[in-house]
Amino acid sequence: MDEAINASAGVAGTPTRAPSHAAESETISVQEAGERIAANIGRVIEGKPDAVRLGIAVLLAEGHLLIEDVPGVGKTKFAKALARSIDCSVRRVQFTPDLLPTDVTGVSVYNAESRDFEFKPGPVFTNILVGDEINRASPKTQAALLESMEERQVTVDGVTYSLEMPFLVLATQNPLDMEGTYPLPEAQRDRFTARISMGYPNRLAEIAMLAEHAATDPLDELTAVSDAKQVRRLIDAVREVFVADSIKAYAVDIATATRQAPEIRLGASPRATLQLLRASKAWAALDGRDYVIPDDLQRLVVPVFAHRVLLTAESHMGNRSADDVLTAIVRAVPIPAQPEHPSPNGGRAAASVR
Amino acid sequence: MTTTQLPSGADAGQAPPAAAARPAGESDRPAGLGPDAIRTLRVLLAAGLAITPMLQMVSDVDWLIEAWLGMAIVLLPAAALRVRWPATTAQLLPGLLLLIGYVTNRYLSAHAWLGVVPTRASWADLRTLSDQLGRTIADGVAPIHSTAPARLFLTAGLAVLAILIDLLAVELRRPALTGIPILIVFVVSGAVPRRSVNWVWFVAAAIAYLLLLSIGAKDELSSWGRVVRQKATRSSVRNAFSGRRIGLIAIAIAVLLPFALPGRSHDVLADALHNGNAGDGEGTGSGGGSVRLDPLAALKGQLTDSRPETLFSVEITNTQSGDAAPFYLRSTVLNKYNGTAWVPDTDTSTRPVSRGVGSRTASATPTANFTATITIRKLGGPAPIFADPESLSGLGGGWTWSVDNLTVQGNVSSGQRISESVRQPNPTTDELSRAAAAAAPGSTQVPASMPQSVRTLVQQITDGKASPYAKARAISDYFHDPNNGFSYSLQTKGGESGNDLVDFLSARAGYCQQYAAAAAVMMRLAGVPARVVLGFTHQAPDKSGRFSVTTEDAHAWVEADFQGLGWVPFDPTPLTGGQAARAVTLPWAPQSQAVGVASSTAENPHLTGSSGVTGDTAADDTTTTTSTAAAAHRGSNAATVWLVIGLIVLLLVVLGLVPAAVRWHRRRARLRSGARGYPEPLWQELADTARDLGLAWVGSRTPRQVAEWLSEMSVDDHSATAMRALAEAVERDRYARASDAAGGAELVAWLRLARSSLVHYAARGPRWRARWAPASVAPALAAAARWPGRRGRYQARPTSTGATERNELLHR
Repeated sequence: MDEAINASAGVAGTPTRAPSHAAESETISVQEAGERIAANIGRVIEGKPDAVRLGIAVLLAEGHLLIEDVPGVGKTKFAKALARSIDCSVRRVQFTPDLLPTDVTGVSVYNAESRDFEFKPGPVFTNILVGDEINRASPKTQAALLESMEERQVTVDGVTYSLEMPFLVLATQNPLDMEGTYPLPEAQRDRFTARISMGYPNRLAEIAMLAEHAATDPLDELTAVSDAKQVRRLIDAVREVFVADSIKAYAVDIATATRQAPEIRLGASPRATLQLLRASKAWAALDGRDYVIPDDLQRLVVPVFAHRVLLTAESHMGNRSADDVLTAIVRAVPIPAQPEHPSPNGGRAAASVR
Repeated sequence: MTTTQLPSGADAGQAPPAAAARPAGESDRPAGLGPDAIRTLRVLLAAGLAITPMLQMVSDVDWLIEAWLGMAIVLLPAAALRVRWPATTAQLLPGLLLLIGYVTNRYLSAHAWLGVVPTRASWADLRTLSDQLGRTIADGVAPIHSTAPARLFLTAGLAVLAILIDLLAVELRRPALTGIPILIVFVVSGAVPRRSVNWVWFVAAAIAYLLLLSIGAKDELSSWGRVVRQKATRSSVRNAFSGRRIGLIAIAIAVLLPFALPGRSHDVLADALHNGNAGDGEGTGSGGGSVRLDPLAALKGQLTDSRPETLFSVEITNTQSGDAAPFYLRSTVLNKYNGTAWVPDTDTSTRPVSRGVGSRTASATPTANFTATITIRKLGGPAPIFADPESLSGLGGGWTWSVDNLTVQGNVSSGQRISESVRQPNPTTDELSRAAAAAAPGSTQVPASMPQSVRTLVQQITDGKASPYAKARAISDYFHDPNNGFSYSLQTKGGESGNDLVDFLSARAGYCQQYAAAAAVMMRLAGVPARVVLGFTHQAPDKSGRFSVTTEDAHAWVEADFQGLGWVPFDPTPLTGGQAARAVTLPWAPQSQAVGVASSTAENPHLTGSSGVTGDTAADDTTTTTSTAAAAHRGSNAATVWLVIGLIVLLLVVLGLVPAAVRWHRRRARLRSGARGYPEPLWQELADTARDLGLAWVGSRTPRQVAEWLSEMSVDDHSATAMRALAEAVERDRYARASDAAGGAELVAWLRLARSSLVHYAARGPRWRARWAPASVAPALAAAARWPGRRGRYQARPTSTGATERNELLHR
């Protein structure tokens, strides 16, 4: 598998069209890796293939994932399982109201021996950071974490430290009406690529869970099926997924529609559009394709946009959720029309240069 | 995933192809409300409004009540049935049967079984009525009076119109298309009477149309499925009004724009229809003949100048007394005046021509004897002959001779040669002055209701004239006297008096018909037996005695009856300029050549016996009298009318075929480029096919969603696979970096398979539409014509089902 990724990475830089067999093996490899990780997580999280796949897609899209749901449906377990499936450094921070920013980013302490301040890296210096109940921390601490998410670096006492690569924050949060929560401001929610909710397991899955979890914690038996190095290569492969111009136009159309929809007070930001496209690339790669199709975007609009848009008061009163509004928008926005007739100098040649 | 695939009601899947044609809006609502019934009632209301412009064509309103009744009879049973069931064509049948029964009972009950069931004899009755109507239409000038046959056909025809509107609006869900029948009614109402339609009627028609459209708008709103009062009110008001606003603006423009434009110069359609009215109805000796002294009605449309055509030629030989020129050729006599019009008498004694022709009383006056050979070129109706014939040959069988009228009745045909030996009476003024008025029964009858002003005028003119001849001469001269200011004009004006004769006498402008009719009435008022004769003037014969008679020579004049002398002609029409050459001077009533005040527009003074010939009531037309001048014009006008109609029909057929041809051409081009390996044109072809079949091709569907959706429509796996393959090829072509897509032949094969399967599983109606009226050719038009309930559901799916749809999407 590594060889395949290498091959594709080598090819990716060349401007001309890749040999088709290389393209094939490249995408299959992302697909295979994704399936393997998903299968691994699936041993712990029963019956949630979509949520699992979204998590992997966010990881490969170099984003961060926000898991929002009521307590006890497996948010943390999912984060842990994902982290454990990949052989890389994993840290976990349980956010509490009294957690300080330095508890996350790290702190400079005076080393008496070297007579100098020495930086003690915080939990943020890791590949996967599981931030549990992120909305229980004070805004100040939240801000510290979120800044490091976006910039992928931490500045302490004027010194800037780069974070590791890959860097994925898996944050869980309880729904906003739960007690003792500090809701994330919009600007900070915007930094999460996608938000998913776990939802309750179905009946059979819950029964199976009871049977398994009663004996041992399956999380303990989980072994890594991938490592940081491989994930980096997968990320590289995802970056090479082709996005046609009409797909970009489609993404912009959808974002524009959210900004103009009467039900929505605050539409999707340009960053959201970018994240949508990135996630779509990962999704396409996980699907075994080296190009994005509108279906990818349609599938990801709700998880990527729903936590960013703000509905109007009327929509709230009308009991419409952001999910509903976005679904309606996806149904209404037409896919950019294609010129019916190929360009005179040969449509196919032009297509390959795109 | 289409609208038709998401029926929430019970009719889901009962009859897949048929159900697919049913609009989605239906299934949401409980059947008990009968939305179609309400629509049908609205259609009834709109159709009733839409036919009101026809009030311009018919002078009274009785027909309108009957037409409304007929519409109600047709549509109400359908509405009743639709309370319970969705609309189908079959529901119109009970109404149709009821209508047939009603019409039979009302108009054809004589031979009907139980008074309502038409029999074979009723069919003959119907034919009689339709003949009557044909004559009324042929000879009348709109607005016609609504006679029984007119009412019958209006009732039946407009009921059929209502059915058509119902089919379009309720069943086919194309309320916008109802504009076409409404427009036809409107155009006919405007074009036939040759005057612009009152704007009131336009507003009525427009309201009818808007009513139909707004039914659609309401349906559209309600078919969205979710009624959130606060939100919906604003948007629904906005939506509902947008259509109305457009309509109001359109009405305002239509009413105001004509003021900004110069007057109608030449209306080809109206001309064609009008000439059709005037000249159509070439009958086998059955054209109605009655002069209507009605400048408004008779010359309602001023006659257009048709190129003079030669109708027949005459050769005069064997002239025995050269001093008397051959007088006009006569063909029809109108000898009854009913207060508004001159009509032919129905009971004149006739006998077969083979038993000889000749007048009842052999005139003792000197005669001019000659032989005339009349060769018919292009003329129908009775033969134009000189008075009085001694013998006639070349007519053939079946002709009758009217002793009183001195005319032959039959139908001449082109190429026919009639030779006539003529003894033309040539009375002297002395003889005439001595002669008493003949005592022919009925020939001085005028209705008692003649206006007093006319009587007074006649008394003034004939004051001091003792003999009937002097009176007749005075009346004839009255019109010729330049001091009286009578002018020849085809541009007649209407008056306010309500009596055509009074109007003419005060306007003092008209043409032969009016002069002849007026003079004849006045002679009768003066006690001189008089009648109107229709026929032809002619040029003076050339050296060899030949001349030809054209359409311009059609004429009408007066004959007065004198004891012992018979009917003596007078020509009251003042002829001017070049036209005067056509007039034959009568020794006993010379025309004053000083008359020169004719309107310059009167270039064609004799043009028309035709448009003035009108049957006042259908009953008057049942006689076998024939019209001469009318027949003369028929030859030329009928050809034009048929040519115009033919061209229009041809044009319509060609226009009708245009969409199909465009579609066919597009498909060919797409298949060609598809064969070169481009899937996109093929995809567009698939899209157009779906649109043609009335499937909602939603722009937000991705190719693979489309493939799923379409393969749900067609049940066979083979084509479903083809559709998926095609979708994938399109996907690759559109979005992939470079594709090693399938070959062109393969692509085309997939498309063909997918297409044929789609067409195969469509209902017959959509399939037919797809072939002959493909919606994809004019998407905007099709969208306008589309019944709103069919689209929109997909795009604005209510929240209640949003979750399930999202899940569907997730599993894609």
